[in-house]
Amino acid sequence: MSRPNEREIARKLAERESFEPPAGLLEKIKSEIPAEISVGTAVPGTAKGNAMPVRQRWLIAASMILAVGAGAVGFRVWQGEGNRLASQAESQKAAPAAQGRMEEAKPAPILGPSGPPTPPPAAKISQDAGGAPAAEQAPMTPPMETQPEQRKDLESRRDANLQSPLPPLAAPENVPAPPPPPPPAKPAVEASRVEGGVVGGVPGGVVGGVVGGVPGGVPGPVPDEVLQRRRVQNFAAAESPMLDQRVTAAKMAEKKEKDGKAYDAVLFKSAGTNPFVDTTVDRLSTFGLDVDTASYTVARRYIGDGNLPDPDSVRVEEWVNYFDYGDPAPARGEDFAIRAEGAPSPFAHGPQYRLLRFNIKARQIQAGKRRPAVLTFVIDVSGSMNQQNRLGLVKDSLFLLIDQLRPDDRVGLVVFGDTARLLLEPSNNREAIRQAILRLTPEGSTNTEEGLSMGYDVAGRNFRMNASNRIILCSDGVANVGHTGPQAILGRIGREARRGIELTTLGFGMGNYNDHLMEQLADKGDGRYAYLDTLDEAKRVLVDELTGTLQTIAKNAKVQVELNPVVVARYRLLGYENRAIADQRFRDETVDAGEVGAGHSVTALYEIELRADAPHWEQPVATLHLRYKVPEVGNITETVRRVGFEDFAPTWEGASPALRLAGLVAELAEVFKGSPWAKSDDLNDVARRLREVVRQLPGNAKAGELADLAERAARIKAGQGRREE
Amino acid sequence: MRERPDGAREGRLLAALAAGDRTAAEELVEQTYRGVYSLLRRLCGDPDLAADLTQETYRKAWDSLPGFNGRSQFSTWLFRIAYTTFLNHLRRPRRLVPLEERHESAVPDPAPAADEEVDRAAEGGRLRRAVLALPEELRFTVTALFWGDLPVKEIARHEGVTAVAIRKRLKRALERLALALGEEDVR
Repeated sequence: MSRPNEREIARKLAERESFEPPAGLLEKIKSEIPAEISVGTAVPGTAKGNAMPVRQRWLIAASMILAVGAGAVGFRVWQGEGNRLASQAESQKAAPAAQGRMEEAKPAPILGPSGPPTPPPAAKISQDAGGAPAAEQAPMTPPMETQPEQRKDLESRRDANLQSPLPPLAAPENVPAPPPPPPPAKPAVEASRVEGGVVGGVPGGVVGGVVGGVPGGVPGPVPDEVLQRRRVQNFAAAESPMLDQRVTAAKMAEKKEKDGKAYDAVLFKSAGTNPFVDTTVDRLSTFGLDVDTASYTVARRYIGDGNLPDPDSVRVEEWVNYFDYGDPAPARGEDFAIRAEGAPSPFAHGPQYRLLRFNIKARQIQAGKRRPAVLTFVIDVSGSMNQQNRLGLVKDSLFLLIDQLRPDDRVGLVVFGDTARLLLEPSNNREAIRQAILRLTPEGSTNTEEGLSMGYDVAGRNFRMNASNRIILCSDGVANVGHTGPQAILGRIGREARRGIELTTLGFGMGNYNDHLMEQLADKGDGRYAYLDTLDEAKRVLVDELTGTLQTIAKNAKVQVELNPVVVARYRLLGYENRAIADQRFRDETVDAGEVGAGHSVTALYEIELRADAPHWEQPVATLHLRYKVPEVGNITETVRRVGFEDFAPTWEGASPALRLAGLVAELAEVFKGSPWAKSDDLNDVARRLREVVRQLPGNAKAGELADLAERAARIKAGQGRREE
Repeated sequence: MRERPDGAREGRLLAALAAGDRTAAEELVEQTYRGVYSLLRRLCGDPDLAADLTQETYRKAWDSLPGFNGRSQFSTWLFRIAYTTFLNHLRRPRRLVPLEERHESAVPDPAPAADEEVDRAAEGGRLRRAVLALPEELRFTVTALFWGDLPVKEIARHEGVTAVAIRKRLKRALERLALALGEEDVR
């Protein structure tokens, strides 16, 4: 039997059978192009390697193959027969090794030891992109048989520092996760909804950034410095599309054209919806705490104006965290109280499902005992702030705040329109502050960047140790003028936050509103983001919760919940999609997580599916780790709370009103969000059940308001339905 | 020989896409999907699976486009995604890699000589399996050059090595393939 030579193989490999794609494939692909696509900053120009005409390339390839073939033949002749036998023996060794590899590829290394075949761990990949890869890739690229020839080659390459043993496969992890496991009971349509959500969502800034460049990047061991740069680049790539004014403008225009409803050009960005995660694949759920509440007030504004909220504006955790659940304050000397309780899930995915609520409540600080504050307001006085009396609301809000000030607090004012200017150097003279506020008048366009820059300059030169140094940005979030664009300012916001000047963003207005920018700025600036739709809301944020807004109890607060795989089969975290942190980075202090102010209360809801055969009473169900840094002191603290079956109520009706309220708030948010996990889209039903719970919570005004809101939304929806008919 | 979209045009389309022009995305798909499909078809040897994987490739591409750094050509980048999509598919526990084929490759049929009139398809299958059994860097090089139609220079840039190194790899790969295929024949 003749042994095929290299040239023959090259020819066969190059053979062009025509593989015509099946009909309809093009249409299918096109139909899956998402409505919004972000593109990396660097758009390729003409690559040099490309200038070469195709024909020429093939001539080179062909001649190369010829040369290789001829060379090989010559080499072999020279080697003589004995060598040939040796090399054959070698290849016989190689063949079984190759077969072994194929077999190894079959069983999934990611599976639990006894687990049933599970879909790919989508959530795992998306959550801790940096983690699993090595283990997961191993089977496909085992260290190849160490033939001397190859080892030499590897070594020489290592010397040249060009290549790592594992490079080419590093790419898959950059590629977003394959579709998450669809819920078994849900039809395919729903699965695809989840997929779109999750994949689109998980913060590219964190995930992509950690891993490094998507295909095309330099493989191999990379010096730290390069890694760092790559991280920065990726961050910019992931973030800038939203912040880049050009793209933002285009998107806004598109959005306006598309929906043309409710408000002009409002920019929200959905972070998707968390999927159910199999505990054998990933038993850890890690996220940064979030005390923002803007998403709820934005929706309230929508409904108040007679519209249903934009699904992209709904962040479930911000809805849940808006409400008071009457959770106990921490004991003396403790920073946090952690409460956990559960009950059968109202989402009714099956009898084994439970809703688990964690509440983390920060200690309160009496108004008189908070640290003095140096507040630099950066106020948007652009033309857009003239609409709907936005500036009027800003002024009224500021007047409310002034009455809360203590003699040692200072307030300064920077305004920006076309340019930024200093209205008042931080001062404790209330009359001067009052006069400055009265002088606020709308003007020109919106140069947020310059406004913030000047704000930081002012706050920097008025910085006081042992005080709360804070910028408060009041804006509708539209940055339409500025030389370098807001991404330039993002870097500064992060640096200043580390230095001790934090940033709180207060959103006003709705037309031309940029929710995403406001949230990102506050997130980077270690501050809070609130949307002020009414003076009442301004009072809540700037008067009732002023201490919490001004004084941070915990910095970089992260939560890791470990679900016990023996008891829990699957779980999903409701909300916190854009706060996800890679599991293995929980104890990494460089990860930017959430800040929690005095008296703030953070609630996290999990829907979990218990194993039918779980050894119920002996095992913990879940364990929550809370990790944070004490500001100023800098101590890292970690506390633990275990949840057992004793924390679960036997029926939904028997659950605490707090748990039921939280469950209903989340359900309503999921309905508005269009989450695939929402039980139904019947707003009347949710409103009715809310009413029932509210009756048991006398004096909880916010809950009462939510029931009203749900009823109103149901009427709006019914009205829309009629109009469409 | 299929023609590859030229870089300048890709650049323009990407710029249009960045500016929010959705039709640019459609045009990019039209330009590239044949190549992607053809690559996957060669890699997996199954037309239906290739179509599925092609769709998956584009889904991933849209999602990871923010991370596209422009250092390589768009089509090279897309090739890389398609390739890893295929490898992921192999690793995926549940989805089928045609089982009987996997079996074949794992345990070579003891008596293939029975029907010695090896038809083209079977031969193609053997070659494909032999390519897949190559060590990763060789496999990538062969696949990229012959099935992905990437120019040597692009592969080199992508792998961070010189074109000469790629040629060396190619030589090694062809030798190994010759050995592997020869082996089967001998038996």
